[in-house]
Amino acid sequence: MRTLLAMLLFCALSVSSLHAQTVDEVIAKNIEARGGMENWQAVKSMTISGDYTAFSLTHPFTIYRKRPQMYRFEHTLSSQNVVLVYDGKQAWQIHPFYGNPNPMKIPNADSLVVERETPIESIFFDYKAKGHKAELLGKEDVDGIDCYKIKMTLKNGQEETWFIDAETHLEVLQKASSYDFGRPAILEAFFDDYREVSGVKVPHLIEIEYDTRHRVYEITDVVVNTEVADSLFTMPVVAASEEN
Amino acid sequence: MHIITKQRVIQLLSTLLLIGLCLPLYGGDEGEDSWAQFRGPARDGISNSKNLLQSWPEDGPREIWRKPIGTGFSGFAVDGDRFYTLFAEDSTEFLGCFNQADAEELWRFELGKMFVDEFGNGPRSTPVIDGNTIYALGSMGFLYSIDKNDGKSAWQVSFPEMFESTVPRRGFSMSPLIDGDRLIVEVGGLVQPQDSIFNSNIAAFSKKDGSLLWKHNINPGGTGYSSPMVITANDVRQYLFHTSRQAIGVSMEGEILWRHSTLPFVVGMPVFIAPNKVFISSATDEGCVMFRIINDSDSIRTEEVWANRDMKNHFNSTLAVNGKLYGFSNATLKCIDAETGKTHWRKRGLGKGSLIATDTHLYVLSDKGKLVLVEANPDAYTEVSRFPALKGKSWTAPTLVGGKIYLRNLTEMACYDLNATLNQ
Repeated sequence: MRTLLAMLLFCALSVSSLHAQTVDEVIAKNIEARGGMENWQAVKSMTISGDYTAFSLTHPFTIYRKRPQMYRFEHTLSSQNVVLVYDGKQAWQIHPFYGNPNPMKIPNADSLVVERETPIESIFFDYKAKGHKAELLGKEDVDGIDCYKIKMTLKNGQEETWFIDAETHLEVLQKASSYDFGRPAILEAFFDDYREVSGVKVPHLIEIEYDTRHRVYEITDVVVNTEVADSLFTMPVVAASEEN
Repeated sequence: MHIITKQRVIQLLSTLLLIGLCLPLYGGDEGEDSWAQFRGPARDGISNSKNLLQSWPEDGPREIWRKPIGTGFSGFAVDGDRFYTLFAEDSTEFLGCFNQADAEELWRFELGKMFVDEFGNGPRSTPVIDGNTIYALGSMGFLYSIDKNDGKSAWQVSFPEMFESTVPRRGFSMSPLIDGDRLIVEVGGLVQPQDSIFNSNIAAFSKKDGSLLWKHNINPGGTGYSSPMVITANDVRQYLFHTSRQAIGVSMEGEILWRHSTLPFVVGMPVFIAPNKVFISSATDEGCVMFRIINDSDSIRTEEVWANRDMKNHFNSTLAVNGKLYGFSNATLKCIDAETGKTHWRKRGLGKGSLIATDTHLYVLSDKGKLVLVEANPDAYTEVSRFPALKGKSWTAPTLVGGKIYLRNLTEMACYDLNATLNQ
């Protein structure tokens, strides 16, 4: 009888423990920790600037994000200016590494990488309405931080794994399939130094590794809802005589 | 009571002299405090310097000198009151000889046209000192034997002429090895991707006159970036190469003893774990592998011990201290267990850094020039001291010899005094 009672008690505690870890509860706490749904919905555009490190060299960068799905990243790579843009439908770039100084459309695989950077808010906001699925895989240690591990299956079928700090409920690590010059690569993005800007919390240190690449964003300024012209995202038309 | 006669003393001295003459020379004996070649006396990134500062002042240890230097990723070879490294200026690569006390340039020797690369121009190879001679390889594949005192060349070999070698995408980057009378190096070969031709050769030259002693065409492959080293596996002394996608054991006489298919895009050096294990790390997501060399009665074979994705050396190498592997997995410093491959700890924030070690500490240079002293402790990342030692992109691993640490990047070089006695 005592054994049966003990087993029932154990089961009850286990159910209670599992209940505390439902994926929607973890995500709800994450959204709250990032400033809440309402504050993020009020963000119509965001301009982020700071220092960007690639190939162990650091240069200034600026990222523009504007609803519904526009994104522009200006930076310097190995002393050459690079622009990556998603205009809401397609990705294009000015990237001297491809041997062409003119704007050009980004091939399909690499285009997905740019498209993934477009949302102003994180992947968890309104994820069901966006057609994504979330699954809690338990807990895991990341660099000494106890984290919830969440598998996100995106509407397009891609999978990402996210690690959420069990104490602060902020994102620590994202693991995802990615591409580097068209070749498949596994991406790991680490998020740190969250600061509040206009009621929302934004990571000010982002470190990304994929294949042999290492990129660091050290963010110094985040400006919310300033005028960001649509023309920034429009691919310039190059005269035929200028095309390579 | 033992009585030592004069005849017995002469006999003993003769024996010792004979043993000394027979000992192999490869940039210094493994146990001595020397650094006459790439990655130190045993090419394993381990320094035998003793009596070093256990921590550093906040602004760093005493700076002995700091000087501008031409572009390049070459390391240092140190000998007596001089040191040597490769650099490029005005589109030409050079071997430079410098005074150790103040880094004054004593002479320079032209190695050929400067290698140009979007990630940094100039030579990648580190010269090797042997007696009165220094051997240097330029990025275009010209190997020279040079008198270390006056900078005059005794002989030269052109890899493109002798082996039809195509200059690799990142230039000839391997560092020559001296062993006895032999100079050992991967010399490349003809590479024509459009025709699926990817040759490479490993070779031994006479260090005295540059004549070819033996060579092997390692096909398929293409030229690698890793450098040969000497290992003694299961009591068999041999050369260990890692060329494209394969590790190879070669006897002193040039016989291929074994091959082990490994991983693509290996730049970092192999790590030998006595008595018979070899660790190889790729720059790609495929990670790393540990395999074992097995000596059967009539042949030598290999078998994989473990493999995982936990260590991805890009252009710098892992090293081993007390059975633990320390290295940069792309831009994360890690400690992993040599027996199991299990990660003990990881530390980010040092970029695509490099490291060397003593038997107690790691000397880590971040890719932006911070020098960091870390305990070689598998239990936890334990940082002791750090200070900004260089400015700008710093991809060349440090050199630690005679209580001094030598650092360089693409624009400057510096030397710091880590000797505990002199700093008291």
